Amino acid sequence: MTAPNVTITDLTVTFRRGEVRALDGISLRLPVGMVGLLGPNGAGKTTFMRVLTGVLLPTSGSVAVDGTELTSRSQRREVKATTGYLPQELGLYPDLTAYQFLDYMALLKGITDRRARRARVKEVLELVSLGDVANRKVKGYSGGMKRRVGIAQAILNDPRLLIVDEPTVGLDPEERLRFRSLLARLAGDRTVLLSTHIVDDIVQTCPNVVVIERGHVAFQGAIGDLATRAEGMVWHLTQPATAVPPDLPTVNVTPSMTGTTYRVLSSGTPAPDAERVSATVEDGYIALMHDTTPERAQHGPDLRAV
Amino acid sequence: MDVNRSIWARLRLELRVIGIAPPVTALAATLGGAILVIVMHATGAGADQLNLAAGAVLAGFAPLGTAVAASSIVGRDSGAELVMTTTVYRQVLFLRVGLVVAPAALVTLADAVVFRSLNAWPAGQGTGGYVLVWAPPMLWLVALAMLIAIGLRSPAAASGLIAGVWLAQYLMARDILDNTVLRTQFMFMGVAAKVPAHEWTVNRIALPAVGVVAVIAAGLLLGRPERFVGSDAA
Amino acid sequence: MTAVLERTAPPLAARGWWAKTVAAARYEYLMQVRRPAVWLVVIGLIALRCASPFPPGFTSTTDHSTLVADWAFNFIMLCPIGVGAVLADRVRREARLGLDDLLTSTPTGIGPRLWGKAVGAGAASITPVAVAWVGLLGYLTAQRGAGVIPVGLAAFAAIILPGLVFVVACSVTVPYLAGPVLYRLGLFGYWIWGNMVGPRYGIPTPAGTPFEAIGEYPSGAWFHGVMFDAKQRGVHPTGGQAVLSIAFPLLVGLAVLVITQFVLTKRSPS
Repeated sequence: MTAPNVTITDLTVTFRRGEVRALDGISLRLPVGMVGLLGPNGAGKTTFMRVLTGVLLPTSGSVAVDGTELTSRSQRREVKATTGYLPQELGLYPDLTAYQFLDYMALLKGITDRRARRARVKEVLELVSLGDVANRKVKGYSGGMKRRVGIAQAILNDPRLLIVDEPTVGLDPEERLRFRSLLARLAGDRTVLLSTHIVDDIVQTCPNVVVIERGHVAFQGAIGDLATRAEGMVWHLTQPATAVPPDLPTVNVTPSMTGTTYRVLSSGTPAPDAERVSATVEDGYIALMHDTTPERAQHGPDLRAV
Repeated sequence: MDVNRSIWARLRLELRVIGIAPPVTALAATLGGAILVIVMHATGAGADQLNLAAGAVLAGFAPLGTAVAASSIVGRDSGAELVMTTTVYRQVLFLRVGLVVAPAALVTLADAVVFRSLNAWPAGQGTGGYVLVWAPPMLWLVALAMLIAIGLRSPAAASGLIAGVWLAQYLMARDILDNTVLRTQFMFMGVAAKVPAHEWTVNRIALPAVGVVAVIAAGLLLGRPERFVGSDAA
Repeated sequence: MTAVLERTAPPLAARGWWAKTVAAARYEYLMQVRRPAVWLVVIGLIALRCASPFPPGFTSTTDHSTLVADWAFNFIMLCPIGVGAVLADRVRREARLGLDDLLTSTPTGIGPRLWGKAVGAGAASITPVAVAWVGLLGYLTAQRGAGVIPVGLAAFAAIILPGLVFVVACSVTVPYLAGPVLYRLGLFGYWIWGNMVGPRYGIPTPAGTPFEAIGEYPSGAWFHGVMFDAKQRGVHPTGGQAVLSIAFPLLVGLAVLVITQFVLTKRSPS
């Protein structure tokens, strides 16, 4: 199996008769492996993913998977057969067991052979460590377990393109680590598009990243290049707890006994006692959010295959 | 002034939470019935038919529509958990039911006035009938619907059973009237024919009395509002 | 890199409409038949009517056909309202549970899911009726002998089932338009008007015609069962009219499902 060639050209999605431009002329090509999709809440990440999965039709522009554009119903169905999706708002049938739910989803995904389906359901249940509780009704599951059912159903059909939207929301730290490791393993010869606003999830797993802001691509490229955007601009600034916070883009705030330390971005020295530190991806992301224009983003470096 | 504004704001918001379906359903039954009677009157239907239709609307359709609408409010509250952290859920639910029942009751009262003016009036009813023909059955049926919906956490069960009880009373009227106890719970008393005054009085007291008991029982069940948090209704 | 999943042949999206529909039906059946409300409401309504069955004294007849037909008439009087009531909220259930996106992202269109819901959830809602009917046949068999069974099964199929299938079809489609609350009231209104408010009330109605869903025509034509509204119209139903009376609700149900599938498919991207 090879990962698909996913090309998005001038993709635009509007709502309320054009009043809301959720996506505005997005063009990019997804490489193989893990690709992070970052952006603030309301940036258009979920809308983007819903278009890729065929759940939402674009207003204009195109999405092509291995040359097949998602314009007709039959073309969308062909692509969906090799796509897996874990939506942000994950709904499950509470009265079914995990096994039954996955069996049903497997059938809907076209795995009609009973033996193959049973084997696959058992396989994915083991992969997400739910084998022991597979015959318990989903309504009795914890949030983390439900998320694992979600990822299990997304990989049932061995998808070439796996799209996961905010997969670690509500998970405890251990489960988050487990999720990341599972996704990274799955990305071997697939394309996994991981959408999140948790930068650390992207940093740990994705060599490439796309940043969407207000419906535009604000950045596309290697994860290291995103950090570079803030190089030389990151400072630690400690002030008394009662002092007014600095009027600068702030990445982090750490209260302590001696005062409050702000991790800020500034092209010049923000205060005489400020300490310059090296930039991280999160710094680059914040720098981007506070200092970016759509024109600059479209001419950014292309995503490179790793 | 501020208190009044906040009360209105609260009522408006609760109506937004309820949505359009329950009030429309309640009003559809009573208004739809009124339109039927008016059309029958306009097309020259006989007096007996008119009186029967008017009685059916007031004592039957209006209470049923209101009860179905009221029961639909239970078990469909995605914000229940948050609401429970701020106030007594029982009060909120009863307020919402009241917001559906009150307009339906007012419209039904208006129906009664219109029917009387058209001489489409249940046999033997006096001016007390403006309220007594429909209000006790409405209270009774709404209370039962609420009790079933809350007890089973299922608006589907409530509306199905309530509709069945209504229809059973219609189909088995003779058997019900022949039974001393069941007679006191007959919704359509005095609709098809005049009844002795004492029977009428007992019925019109017993119906709302049972309704009040059902409301109290529903209220007690709502003492455990955590039952409404979480999964799909039964 | 070691493969995480065992490689299989990729599923083909276009195949398996039937298998997907059967799967949807199977799981819809499972989810619906487990609901306590389904059993409570449907059996409750049957019990309510059968507590004082109509017509009075029919249970002492020696004619097996008449006996089962009149029992069937009592069954069908109220339980369709319950069947419709418990099905109406299944219609938008996926949206309520947040499953819409997930299901739309699969290569399966609306069709298998709609038909699966109609067949599966519908069969589950009819199951209590069937169980109650089997129980009744068991009781009658103990009283009258095994001769009741074949005629009892035929009566179920001819008198009870067509009306229920019609209600099922409407209950998994019309609520898309009207919502479950208004639909339940509308179903009740239709059931009375269309099947019980006969010509004696002076308003136009299908009650007593072959276009009613309460099974009066098959009951009268084939089983010598009690006639009510048809009798008021002076009708002695023939076999052909009985067939029409069965076919009409089934065809209307089919039409409603097909139209709904068409409309939903047009609206859905999948």
